[in-house]
Amino acid sequence: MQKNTLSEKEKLKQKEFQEEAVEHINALYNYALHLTMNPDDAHDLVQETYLKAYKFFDSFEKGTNCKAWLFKILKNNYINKFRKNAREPGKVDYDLIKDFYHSIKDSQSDSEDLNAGYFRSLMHDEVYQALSSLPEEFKEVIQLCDIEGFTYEEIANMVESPIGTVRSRLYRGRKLLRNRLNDFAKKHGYNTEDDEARQ
Amino acid sequence: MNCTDAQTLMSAAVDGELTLKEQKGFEKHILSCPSCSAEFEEAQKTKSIIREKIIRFKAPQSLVKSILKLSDSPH
Repeated sequence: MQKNTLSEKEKLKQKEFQEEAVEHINALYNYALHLTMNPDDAHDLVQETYLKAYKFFDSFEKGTNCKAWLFKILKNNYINKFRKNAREPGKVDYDLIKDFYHSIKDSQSDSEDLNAGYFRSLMHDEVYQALSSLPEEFKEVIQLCDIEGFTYEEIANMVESPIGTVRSRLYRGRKLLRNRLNDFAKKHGYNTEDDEARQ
Repeated sequence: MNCTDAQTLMSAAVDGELTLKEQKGFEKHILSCPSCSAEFEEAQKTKSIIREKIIRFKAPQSLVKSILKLSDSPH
């Protein structure tokens, strides 16, 4: 007769999985949104990531960064799901993103004192657009470093490149991003050079 | 350290990822190089903007529930 209850081992796995992995769901969802630019695709991607993570949870090395492990699974899933099928999840619909931002935005709690001048006036979705418009290799490292707070070693592992490449992509990516943000500022009539000079 | 060396270390300096030796060399250079010093400041600001302006979303409740259910069900 087959027992209908879970083994002690399975129960322990569930408990550990809930404690270690589930708490990163918001971060994973945000990363998935950045990758897919589509809430439905992001939902599916996160769900599939957790399904795979649970299945292979025994291979997760305890004491290491579970969030980084989950991000790597999500990234691989994303590549398999979208790139192999030549499906295009990343056609950016700025209106959709803008609406999405305004409809479901969470609290933005970071009250770090930013620069004086035009940056204060930049809208969230403008920064999002500027970031989204960067080439994938730059956008990715900026997301992982500045938004998710991973170390260079963790990022290098996730993007499967040496740390030197991560450094260089961050340097070039931030420079590009700064130029895009300056473009926004100029479009809105701010003279960024004067702004900078006043600081 | 010259400007090219400093640029190579720029992002790591922003992110606190330099070794002590690199940090010392980098600081020494930007103290004497206005151009690299300005670039360093720009890079720091860009990071702050991203951190401040990018909105963090909450995962939809339906997704959270499905994940919790996933690890509640026998596999």
